Amino acid sequence: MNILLIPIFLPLFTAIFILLVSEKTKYLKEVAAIMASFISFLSALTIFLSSNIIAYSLPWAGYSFDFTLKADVLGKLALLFATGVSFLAAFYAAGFMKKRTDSAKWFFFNLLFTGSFSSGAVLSDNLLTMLFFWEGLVIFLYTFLVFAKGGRNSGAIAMKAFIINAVANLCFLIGITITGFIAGSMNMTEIHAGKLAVSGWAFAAYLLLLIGIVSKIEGMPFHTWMTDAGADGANSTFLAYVPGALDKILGIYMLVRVSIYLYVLNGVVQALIMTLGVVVLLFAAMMALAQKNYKKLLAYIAVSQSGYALLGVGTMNATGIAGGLFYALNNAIYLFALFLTAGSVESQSETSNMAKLGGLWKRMPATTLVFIIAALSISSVPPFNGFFSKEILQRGILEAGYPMFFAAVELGSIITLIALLKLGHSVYFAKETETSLRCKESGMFMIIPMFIAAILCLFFGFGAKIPVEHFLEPVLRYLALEHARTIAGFQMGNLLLISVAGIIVSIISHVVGYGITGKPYKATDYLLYAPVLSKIYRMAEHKVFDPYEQIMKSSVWPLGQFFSKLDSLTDYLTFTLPSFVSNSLSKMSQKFHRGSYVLYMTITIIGFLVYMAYVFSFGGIK
Amino acid sequence: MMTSLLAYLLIPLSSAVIIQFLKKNDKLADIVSNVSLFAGLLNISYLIFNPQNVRFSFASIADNGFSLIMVLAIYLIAFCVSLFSSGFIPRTKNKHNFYSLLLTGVAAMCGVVISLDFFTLYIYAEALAIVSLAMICYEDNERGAEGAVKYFFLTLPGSVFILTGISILLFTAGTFNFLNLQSIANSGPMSTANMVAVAFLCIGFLIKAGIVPFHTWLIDAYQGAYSPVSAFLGGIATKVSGAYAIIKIVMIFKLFESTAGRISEALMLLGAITIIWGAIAAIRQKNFKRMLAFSSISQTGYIVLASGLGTPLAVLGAIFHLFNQATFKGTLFLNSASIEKSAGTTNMHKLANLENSMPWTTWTSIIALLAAAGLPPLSGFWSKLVIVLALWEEGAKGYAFLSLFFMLVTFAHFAIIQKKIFFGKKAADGEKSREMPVFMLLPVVLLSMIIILAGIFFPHVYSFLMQAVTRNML
Repeated sequence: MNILLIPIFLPLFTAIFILLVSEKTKYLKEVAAIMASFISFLSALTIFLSSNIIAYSLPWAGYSFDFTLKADVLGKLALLFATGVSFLAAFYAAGFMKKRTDSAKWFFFNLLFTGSFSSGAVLSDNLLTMLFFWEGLVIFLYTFLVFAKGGRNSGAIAMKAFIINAVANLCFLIGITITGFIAGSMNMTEIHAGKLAVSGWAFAAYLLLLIGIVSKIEGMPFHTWMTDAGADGANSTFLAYVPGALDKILGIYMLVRVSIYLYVLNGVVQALIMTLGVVVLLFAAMMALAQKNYKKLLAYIAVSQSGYALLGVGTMNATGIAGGLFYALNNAIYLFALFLTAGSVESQSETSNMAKLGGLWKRMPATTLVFIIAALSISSVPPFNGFFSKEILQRGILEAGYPMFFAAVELGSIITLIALLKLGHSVYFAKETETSLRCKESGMFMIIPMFIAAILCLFFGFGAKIPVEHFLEPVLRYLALEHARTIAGFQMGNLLLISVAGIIVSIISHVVGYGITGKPYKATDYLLYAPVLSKIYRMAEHKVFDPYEQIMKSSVWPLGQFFSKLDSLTDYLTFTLPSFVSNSLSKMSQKFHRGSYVLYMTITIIGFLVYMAYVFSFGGIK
Repeated sequence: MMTSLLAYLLIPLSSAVIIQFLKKNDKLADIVSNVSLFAGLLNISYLIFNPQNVRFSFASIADNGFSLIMVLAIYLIAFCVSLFSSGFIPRTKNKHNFYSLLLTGVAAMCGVVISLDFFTLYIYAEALAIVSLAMICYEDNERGAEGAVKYFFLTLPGSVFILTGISILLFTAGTFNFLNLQSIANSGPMSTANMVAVAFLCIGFLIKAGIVPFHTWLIDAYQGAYSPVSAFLGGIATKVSGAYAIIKIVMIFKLFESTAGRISEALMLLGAITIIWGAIAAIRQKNFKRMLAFSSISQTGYIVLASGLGTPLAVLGAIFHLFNQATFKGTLFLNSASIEKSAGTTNMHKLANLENSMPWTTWTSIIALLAAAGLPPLSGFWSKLVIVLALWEEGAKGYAFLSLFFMLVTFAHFAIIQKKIFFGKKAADGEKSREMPVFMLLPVVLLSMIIILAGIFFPHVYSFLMQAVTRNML
């Protein structure tokens, strides 16, 4: 029995077992789920620590449909993180689901199946096996959302998520089939031996694969379902697990696998990926500024974070790729932690509206502490892990020679910090509200995973020696990427000063905003105008820093409007337009089927004549 | 005729006759019908899936694998319909007639698939048509009569063309026997006269299969027929009389040669048009059965498209898709019958939120719909994947993209159905619906399990079908 089969099949069978178990048992579901994900994590750890590459192969149906698994350096790193977050999510959910009305049985079923399929996806060595697992994940995304019974729109959002992901996965499927045919093999190790250059059909294939990957990491324009789910109040554990952590891991795994392991990219593609990364990063962060809902704000931050990963891999040099990879791994920790805090707050206070929350630090000190650590990490404040991932990424960008993108990343982290300062200030500090009087600290099941995540933020910070040495360096060596100097450690220099300056700018911005409006959750309102015009005039009266506001008004406001219109256009294109087109086509065909026998017979005869003419139009009848 | 499989034809026929003597005793009629079909099903399953065969990757199957899998599909659907009908049809309706017709239909279908030459095939196909005719107007109302008349007269051209083709074949090739024809086709390029005959045969069977633009009878027949009859028709009868023959023709003749005119291209084109038309027309239907009818047409288009391509892999995909469609449509039509009985209507605008009141029906339908849309790990995904791969491999990239795209549109049907009927807000008619009794649910559960298992154990299915195809094709 090969150890590689455990992370795939154990959660799968446990999930089926849980489904057969009655809803009414007290602890059986939770215990089974936690045990299964823990054992998967342990086996992932064993695989990770073993020094040789473990493989498993089962020839299946011939014709390239092989079930081959291989835990190479990249795969086992992804596996470790994927099973790790599965375990933490299962643990957290044991406490979280107690207070909810939606079905715990289905939740654990979905969680375990998602874990199983994601392990399968990162371990597969055959493109078609990997495709099977990857596509299967979309089903469980749908079932997760449909059973979550979050808000009023959970069914519609589930369908939206499914359709967006299904379309993107269709492109991914086409990309994979083209890749397999160009390379002449469906086996990834074989393709790696002779990497494909990006030209002609390979270019098209790579773009299609990229579409699939971008949708997986919730990049634009495939992100709208997640932000809607956040606003609608979807299950926080789900948000933490799937879009928050797992998708990033799977996405970066696939991105590195495809861009470096299978293909050799050229300048055009590089520019494309990097531009996309920057656009996502900035746009989403700006949208986050306007949010007044805890989870929706975090959802936009999550979208923005995927931009960094794209940017990192796009630089095509060792430092940049390490930075992008590090970003994705870190996301699995701090974004996960942030969504868990959202869940913690929500389960106590029954709301995610920032206006209704305040001063929770007194009542939920543990959650507040985790939030602070995670928020500072995600905004790249030293000495947490986020800071080092940003530094490494910045160095990579400069090495690739794109100073504009450097500035964009700085701007991105400034905006992220502003948004999180607003969030933290209004929810955890500031005055207590009625709702927050009811809150008390969450149970142990929910606190422990949050703490583990927060500790990891610290652990992987402080110079980031541990993650670099154990996670990133092996991958770089495996992919034969050379780099001159070490990438870990505090490196004094201009970069550090710029980062610190950025942090100070964010703090000033928040203080200014708070000072203007007096309410912490409105601290960014001066950046993005409220839709009501009277607010503009009211703000004009309170103007304190006149020239400052002038600058903000002229550049940020029109940009904000444009970006939000772009958001709704994407929605229109992926949703409203296709259904309109298909409806009109159907109406036309409906008119045809009137039931008239004469019409049908006429058409049959005419059809026959046309057929005969067509068939014998070639060469004629001798 | 393959004498080894003759029993599968004779036993239902004799049961049909026996049941006529059981006019007074309905319960006994139920039992005779169900038991004979179940026994046949067990027998054919054992014949195909016994461990000996599986271990050696089906290399030792003596008979034609294609016929075996068709017999399996026939007995499976017929058994499910029979079991379902024993609960569905009330005592007042001459149940014994229904069973006799059903069993005769099974005999006719088995005759079609085990015949070894075109003329025998045609005779049994006509027998099947007459039986279907009788079954469609079983309920003795206007809609049934209309559906039956349309069915008969609009497939009449089909029969005429088949007969024409067969007669031309007699003059030009001197034989109808499949093996002889295959050796004639193998020995050199086909003469034009032979190809004219093949063209006639093709168009005849296409009409019987319900390909656009000859599909109109199918819609009204499926909708107007008595509900279990729709399941029987839509599940297997149309496929046996139409799609089976097309695949057989493709396996015998080399249709992609230059002297074949443009038959294979015509097949592919018609298949593609059918896929598009069926899928789009289905979206706006208000009646559940009508939507299923259009969806059936669309899926038959896939089968014809793949057969038109003609490579072994494509034919494999077509056969597997045929089998899959039998299971999906069987499930869905039986469920529509359940819904009709329980909620009183098949108008989708009046149904809602049946998930609460009819959970088993809901979930089996969802499995069938998801499989029809081609989602892994269900069987529909594999058959669609094989068809797309075969198309891509031969360079028919446009057709490949088209099939992939319409997988999405098929999924749109699913979205509509699940939203309107199963999930969503309660409506008046949904309130009074109750779940069906256990033995009426057994058939759909059995079919759903087969859908799932065929998906999971695809490698075995693949090796079986590969054997069947390579041994019997040029």
